[in-house]
Amino acid sequence: MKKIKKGLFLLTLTLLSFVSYAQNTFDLRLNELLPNNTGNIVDDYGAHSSWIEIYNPTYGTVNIGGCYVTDDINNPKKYRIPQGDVSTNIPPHQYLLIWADGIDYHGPLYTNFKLSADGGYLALYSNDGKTLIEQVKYPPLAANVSYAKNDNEEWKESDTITPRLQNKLYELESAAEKLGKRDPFGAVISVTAMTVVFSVLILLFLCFKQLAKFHIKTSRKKAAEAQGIDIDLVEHAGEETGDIYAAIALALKLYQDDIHDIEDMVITIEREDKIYSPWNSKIQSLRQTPEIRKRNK
Amino acid sequence: MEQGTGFFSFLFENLSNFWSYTGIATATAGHLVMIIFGLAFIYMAVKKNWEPMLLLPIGFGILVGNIPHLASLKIGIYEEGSVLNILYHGVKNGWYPPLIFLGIGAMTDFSTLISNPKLLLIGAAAQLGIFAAYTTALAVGFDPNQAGAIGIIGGADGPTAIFLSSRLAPDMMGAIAIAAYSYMALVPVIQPPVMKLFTNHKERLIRMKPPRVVSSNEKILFPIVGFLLTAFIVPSGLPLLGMLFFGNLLKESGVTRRLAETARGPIIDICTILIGLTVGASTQATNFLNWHSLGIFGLGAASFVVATMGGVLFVKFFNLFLKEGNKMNPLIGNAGVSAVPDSARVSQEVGRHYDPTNHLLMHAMGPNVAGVIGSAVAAGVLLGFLS
Repeated sequence: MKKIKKGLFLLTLTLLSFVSYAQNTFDLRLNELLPNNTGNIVDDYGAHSSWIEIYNPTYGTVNIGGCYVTDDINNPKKYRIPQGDVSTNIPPHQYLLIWADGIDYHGPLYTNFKLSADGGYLALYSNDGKTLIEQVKYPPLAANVSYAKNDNEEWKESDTITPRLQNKLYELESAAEKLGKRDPFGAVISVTAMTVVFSVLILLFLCFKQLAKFHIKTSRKKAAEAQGIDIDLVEHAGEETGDIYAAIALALKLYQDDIHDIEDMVITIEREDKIYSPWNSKIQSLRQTPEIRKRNK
Repeated sequence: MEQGTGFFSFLFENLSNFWSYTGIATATAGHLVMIIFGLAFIYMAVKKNWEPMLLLPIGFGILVGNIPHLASLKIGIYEEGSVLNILYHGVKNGWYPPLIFLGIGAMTDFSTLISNPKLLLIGAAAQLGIFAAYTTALAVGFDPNQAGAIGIIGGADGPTAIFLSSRLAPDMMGAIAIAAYSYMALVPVIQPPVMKLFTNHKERLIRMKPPRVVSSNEKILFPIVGFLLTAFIVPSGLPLLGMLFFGNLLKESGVTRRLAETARGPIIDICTILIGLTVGASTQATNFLNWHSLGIFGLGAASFVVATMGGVLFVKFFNLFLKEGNKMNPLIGNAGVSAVPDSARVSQEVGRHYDPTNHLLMHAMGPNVAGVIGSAVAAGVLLGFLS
């Protein structure tokens, strides 16, 4: 029984590994192709053959063996990449070059078709020969001009050919140059940028204004609770009617009427000079000043 | 006898060879001019006490960078693999400025800003200098990315200026950094005349309400909310804003005292030394002494003036909508540029000149730290548009 369980477990693991393998091949991407190779790198036979570059963007090694590449939209199984060859492994974030020289017996990475320099079609199918992984239609390309993907996954013509390397597509104009042409005086960007700066700080201002209000309210409540004051009275402070204010004002007036600012008598303040002399200084006395104790009655 | 002659000729040949390697033999007038610049920076730092933490390393860096030597020795800042070159990578690739921002965050108290959030808007208004310099730089013939890098001098924030110029115009970084730090040091000289020009006597005497006490919860929330709001709107400012608010959270959380102390102590000190020395050393006469540098210095000065004006006038404009008793003293408007805390000190000094009992320092710290956020946001916007 244990052996059956072990066998089933191993079978499940094997199936899972196959499923994950199949899933990984879907992550592969066509990255660059050079149909008209006259001066770029040569294949293992010293010929300037056209080539297809495939990229593995995953964090695991993917074996492309068993997948199909084709230049015929009606024939997905035109060339099957042989399985069981170590050269068909693509390490993580690495590139694989397949030579499209039309001679498939040259090796596992040599297709039975050539890429047309007059434009055409190229597709990568999974190992069932039906599921499309990626396809691309490319325009007529001059000699040693590749068709490559940029950072935004857009296909572009490139005269900077990068076999087995990351593509380097140089835009004819940088973002700054484009902006300089559209906004030569910088007025648009200045207004936009100032608006963004103000918007961000206004948002912060509004956010912390509300937060401050909330904080003041809660701290008042806490203080009122601690002092045993009715919370409603605190919250509704300032909402009293005019009658209450009038009554308070009247009470204050009556109170102030009783306070005399000018008195009807004369107060004379006479200055009493106490001239210092060491003879009458308590500090100079030889004996300690007697302490007067009050008797408890 | 012949042996003796041979020995002396060999000795003479060696000495003359050695002489040709020395800096004295290869020095040019440009190197001497730059060395005078460096000495002036050291003088300003030591004798005048103007931003000594920055001007002293930069000044000495200028001396280091302008000792003439043969490129084959592989010791210069631009020679790949040399010690100075490796240290310079932190400037070139923008590593130091975010680390400095981490330290700034860990030493900044945002309480004044939290207690009176409208001060944030002054920090936005003072960024006007950046865009005034940007448009002027375009008008005088600089490329848009160069103009953006020059404009950021108006933000009065050295690390931000270095960060943006390393991305947009690396060849101008030395001149831009020198201009930014020089004008930051000269804030007490540049700002007061502009502040006095745009305010009247009555305005200078305005007393502001004392800031309320801010709770620790508010202080903790500020960096989190501040980061999320600013970074979502301007993700390109992430390195600066992220580090600034992270540093502040370390400080305010109260549970990471050691980390906060490291950020505001050893980290910021090490980065300041390295950034100052290498930026100074990058100003080699051959790269620095040109008309572009002169233009950068001129535009930088103008941008400081406009930034100060923008802050002061904005406070005056804002006062039109505030009730009597809630009005702000326009003398804190200059602090919207992020030269922390020098511009806030200038507000205090000018304010006390007109009323010795009116202390504006705490109020000015609000726009001052808002200026740090504002200039980082402005840098992010420029980076987003121009890179």
